[in-house]
Amino acid sequence: MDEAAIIKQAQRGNVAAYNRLVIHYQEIVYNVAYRIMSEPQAAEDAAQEAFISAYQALRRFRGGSFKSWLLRIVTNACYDELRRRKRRPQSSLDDLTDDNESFAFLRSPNEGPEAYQERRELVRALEHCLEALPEDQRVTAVLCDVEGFSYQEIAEITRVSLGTVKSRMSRARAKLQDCLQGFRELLPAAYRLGNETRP
Amino acid sequence: MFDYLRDLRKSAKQQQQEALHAYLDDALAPKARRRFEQALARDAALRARLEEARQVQYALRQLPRRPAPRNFTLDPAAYGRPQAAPLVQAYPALRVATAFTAFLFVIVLAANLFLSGGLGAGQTAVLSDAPQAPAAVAVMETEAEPIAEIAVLTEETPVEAPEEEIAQTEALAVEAAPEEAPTAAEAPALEAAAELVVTETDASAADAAAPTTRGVEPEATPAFYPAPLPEPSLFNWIHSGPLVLGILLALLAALTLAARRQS
Repeated sequence: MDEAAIIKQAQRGNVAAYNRLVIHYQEIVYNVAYRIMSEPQAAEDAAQEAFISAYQALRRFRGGSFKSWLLRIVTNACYDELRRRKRRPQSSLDDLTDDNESFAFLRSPNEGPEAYQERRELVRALEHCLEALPEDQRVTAVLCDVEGFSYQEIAEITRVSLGTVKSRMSRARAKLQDCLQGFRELLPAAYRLGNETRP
Repeated sequence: MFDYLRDLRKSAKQQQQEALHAYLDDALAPKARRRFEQALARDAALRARLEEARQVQYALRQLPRRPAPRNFTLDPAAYGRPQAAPLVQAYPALRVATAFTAFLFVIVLAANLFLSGGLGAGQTAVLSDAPQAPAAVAVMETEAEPIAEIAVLTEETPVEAPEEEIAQTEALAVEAAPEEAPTAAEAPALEAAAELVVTETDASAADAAAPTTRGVEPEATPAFYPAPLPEPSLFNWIHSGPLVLGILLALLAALTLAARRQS
């Protein structure tokens, strides 16, 4: 896919060309939104809003990494929604959804029910600990550890300095480490052994 | 630079903690990396902490990627051409202009403070003298002819006048001068007044008229002379510069912020 050419076509108003970009990036955009918002429906809304905003702002895109630019828009959309929720707290319908349904995507045909259950518990524990982080640290941890972005890319996406990314990452991991102590039995064997052998 | 300054405030433990995670993410500069590896070789506890951090990172990377619940594609009928954003195109230029104006503002403000502290008195003197000089010239011009006439009369009638009359003449002359000296256009009127003074006194009063007009000269600085505008100079510009630059800076900053928000 010649991304630069498609972006130029989209900038000229070709919605079909833009939709090719949407299909290419929608999974990562949705996942980043989901890890920040911790709710499928809120993540869906944030992703849709981000794609609409990105299209409307497409002529302002001045080159560079389109993925970073798109993720900046979606993280901003998530920040806005989180701030709005702080001002007007509300209960989410996602809290009422069936847990089995929410984790149905984890199911693998080759996996036994016990292994599936363990994996689901681990995912829940990790999501719980991520959710407990302050927003800026959560975004940094999601982009770095979940999505695998470099510090430089995270600095571009979140528009902060490299030093701030390092600092946020260090604090986020320290908090995650503390939080995961409570779910030690769910973690990979090496992690458990490492902690047990410590004095 | 700000990162460097912020690092100075951090404790050694915090710095080591950040270096540990940056090392894990391969984000350390080569020199810092070598230094950290040396510390790692010496310190078993640091190695254990690194391993724990590695496990947290590993666990997070195991988080499954969720499939997008639906397509987020846009309906071509509902979305037209993306909006143009002229402000955003100008953002780099606006940013540079704002920075330059801010720098200039600081320099001019500093120069203004320095000069007003060091040369404040001199400036005040210059400004207060400015309207007086042309006024004095105007008085000299309007009085030149009466003085000449008086001198002629004095030569013709060398008669002594009584002291009361001299004083009376002086008073009349002093009153007449500031009233009729304002502009060069009124010079004939002043001339007539001066002649009147001379004719009203007897011949000996002419002797006293000369000192009278001499006496008027330093006092003839009427406040109602139209003061000419001072010449534009570097000093004046520095004096009003901060205000102009301040307004310009505020305008540029607002535009830059608007452009940044759009981008």
